[in-house]
Amino acid sequence: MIYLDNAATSFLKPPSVARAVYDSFGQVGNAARGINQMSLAAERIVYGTRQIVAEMFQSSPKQVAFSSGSTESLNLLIQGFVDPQDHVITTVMEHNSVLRPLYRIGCDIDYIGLMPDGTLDKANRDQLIKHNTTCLIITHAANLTGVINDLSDWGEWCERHGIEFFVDASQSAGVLPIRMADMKISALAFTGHKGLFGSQGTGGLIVKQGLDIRPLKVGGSGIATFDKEHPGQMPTRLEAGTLNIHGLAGLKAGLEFILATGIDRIHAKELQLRTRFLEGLDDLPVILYGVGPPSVGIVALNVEGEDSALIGGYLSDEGILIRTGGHCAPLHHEAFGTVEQGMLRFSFSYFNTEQEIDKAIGALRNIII
Amino acid sequence: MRQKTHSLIISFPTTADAMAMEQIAKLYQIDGKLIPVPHFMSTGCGMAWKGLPDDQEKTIQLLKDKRVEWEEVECLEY
Repeated sequence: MIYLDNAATSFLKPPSVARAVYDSFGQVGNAARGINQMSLAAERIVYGTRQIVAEMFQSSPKQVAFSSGSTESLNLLIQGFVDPQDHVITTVMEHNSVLRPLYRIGCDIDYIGLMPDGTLDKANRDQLIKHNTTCLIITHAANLTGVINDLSDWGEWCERHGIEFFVDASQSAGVLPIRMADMKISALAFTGHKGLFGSQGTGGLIVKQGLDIRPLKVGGSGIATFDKEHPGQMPTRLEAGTLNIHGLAGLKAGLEFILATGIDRIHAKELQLRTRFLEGLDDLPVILYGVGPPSVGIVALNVEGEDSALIGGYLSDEGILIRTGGHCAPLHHEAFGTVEQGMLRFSFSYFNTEQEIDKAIGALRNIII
Repeated sequence: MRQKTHSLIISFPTTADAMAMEQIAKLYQIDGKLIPVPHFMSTGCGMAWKGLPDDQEKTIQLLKDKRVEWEEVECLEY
C-alpha cells in the first residue's frame, strides 16, 4: 500500500508521536483543574505545546487556543468575529470550513477568483473593499491544488485597507514558514493531523493580542467557578471544556520533530517528490491543474473524459491511496470547470519515498494507457 | 495541623501564566511551588504560586521581564 493522501491526513508520522500519545495515558489527569501532580503533568504538556506552537508561528503561548482541528478553529474564528451586516472577502480556493460558516452567518461575501495558472487574480482586489469590509479569509496553500498564496503580500494589503487578516493554514502548517507578526496575520487556524504530524482531533486558533473573538462555547474552565460568564482571558476564553491532552502530547512530539528536522527541509523533500511525480506524468495524457506556481506537495489532475472517482478506484485496487471528488472545495472546482468530474489529488509527505512515487506513476500508466 | 509559614502568594489570570511562573522558577532557581488558589484571593485561575517572601522583588521583576501576567501578591502566614 502506498499512501499519497497526506493532504487529507498524514499517515506516516514520526515514531515519537504515537509513543507520546501512548505514554500520556499513564501520566496525566485533567489540565487546569487543580494542582495535584497528575493535573500539573497534563498542564505542562498543554503549556509546552502552546510554547512550541507560538515559536513555530511567531506568536505567544497565551494567544494559542487549542481545538479539534481546522474546522472547529475556523468556526470559532468566523462565527466569533463576523456579523451578518459585515462584508467579508475570501477566495474561491477556500474549503467548506471557511465557506459554510460564512453562509450560515449570511454576511455579504466577495470572492477573489482564479487566474488561468491556478493562482489568485489580484488585479482588481482593491475594488472589492467596501465601507463595511471587516476581514480577508484566505488559505495559505490550496487544499485542491497546493498552490501557495503569498501571505506577506496579502497581509500588507489587509493592513493598507484596515481589515483583519485571517489565514487557514491547514495545508501549510509544518511545511511552510509562517511568521504571524511579520506577515501581519490577525488569526491563524491550523490542524494537528496533517503537516504537523499529530493525531486527528487536534488543532488550534492563534489570535493576535487585542483581537476580540466571541467564544462559540462556554462552560468548564477550571477557573472563576462562581462567575456567570466564561473567563475572558486568552486562551481560556476559547477553550471551554476538557482539552484533548493525549492528542496534544502527540502534537507536541510532532512539532518537536518538525523543529528538529527543519521546515525548509520538509518542504524541499515534498517538492522533490512532487517534481519526480510530475516528470513521470510527462508522456501521459492527463490534465494538470495549477502545477506551475509555487506549491506544497500536491498534484491535482484528471484523465480526460473520465470520472476522477473511477480512476481513483482503479488506483486503490493497485494499492495507491489518493483522494478523488470534490475535496470540500466547491468554488475551486467551479473555477476549474470540474464540478462533475472532480479531480485526482496526489499529496506527498516527508515520509514518502521516490520508489513510492515511481510505483504510483507505474500504476497510473497501466490504468490509462 | 501542619504549621503555617510566612509565604509569598501570587495569583494568575490564566493557567498558562501559572505554568510560565513554574518554568521561570525552575530556570532561575526560585524556591516554591504551585498550590490551589487560596480562598482569600478573589480572582485568578485555580493555581497560585507559593514562594518565599524574600524572593518577592526578584519574582515580580522576572514576571515583568518575561511578560507573564499576575493578579494578586500577598505575603502572609499560609
